[in-house]
Amino acid sequence: MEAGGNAETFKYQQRKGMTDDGIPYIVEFAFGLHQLGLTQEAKVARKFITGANWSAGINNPFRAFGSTGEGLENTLAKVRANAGQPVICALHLASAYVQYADRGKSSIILTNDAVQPDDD
Amino acid sequence: MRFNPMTTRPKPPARPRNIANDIVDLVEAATSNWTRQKKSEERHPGMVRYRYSRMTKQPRTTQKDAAWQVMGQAYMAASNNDTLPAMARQIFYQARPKIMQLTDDKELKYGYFISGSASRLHRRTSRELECGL
Repeated sequence: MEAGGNAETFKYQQRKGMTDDGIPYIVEFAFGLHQLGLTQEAKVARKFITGANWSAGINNPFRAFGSTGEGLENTLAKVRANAGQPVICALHLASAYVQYADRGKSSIILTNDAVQPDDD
Repeated sequence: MRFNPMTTRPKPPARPRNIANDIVDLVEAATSNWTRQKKSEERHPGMVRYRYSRMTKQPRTTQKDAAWQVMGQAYMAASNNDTLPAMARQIFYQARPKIMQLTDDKELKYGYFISGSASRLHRRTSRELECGL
């Protein structure tokens, strides 16, 4: 709400699971609209916060899912939440074992492919 | 199987469970209202004026839900604590102000009350009272 979001549009979703190796994980996603995006066609850019294990990432660490190479940006674009939209979203992954692609922990390796949403 | 435009679109099979698919599922679920609204705006730009009302719709108490809450009380009042037979209209007069109060003063018509869910509620309440519940 500090970022200008509208409380009535706020939605939170959470999914718990186990990887193939038996490691538990929780994925959380919060979504809301910016107040200005509700009242007019205002040019408010998207605010997008991602992180893993209670640490916010500098960039989006969910850049690629598996071998398809399509990442979270692609998913958000398909659900009409691309960078130009007045939305605020946050994604958090908590897991006992997170594999990073680099020493700076800027990209998480997700070995599984994701089935992206339909375009229509 | 070929998609027939005259029927509803078949539901796609559920994605297998893994972190990547869970992320996609969550994003889809949380943004569903927004996606629907944006797609309608793409088809008809004038739909932007409904953005506020569609995105901030609050769950309301329906007349049916309200009837569930007050029916037992209304039946008891109409039947003088289950000592006299109660007609549907007598129960209606007892329940109407309470139901309207719970549903933002939305008018409750006798026809709807007697024909729809309310009569089923009345039957159920009577049955429960007969059983001494």
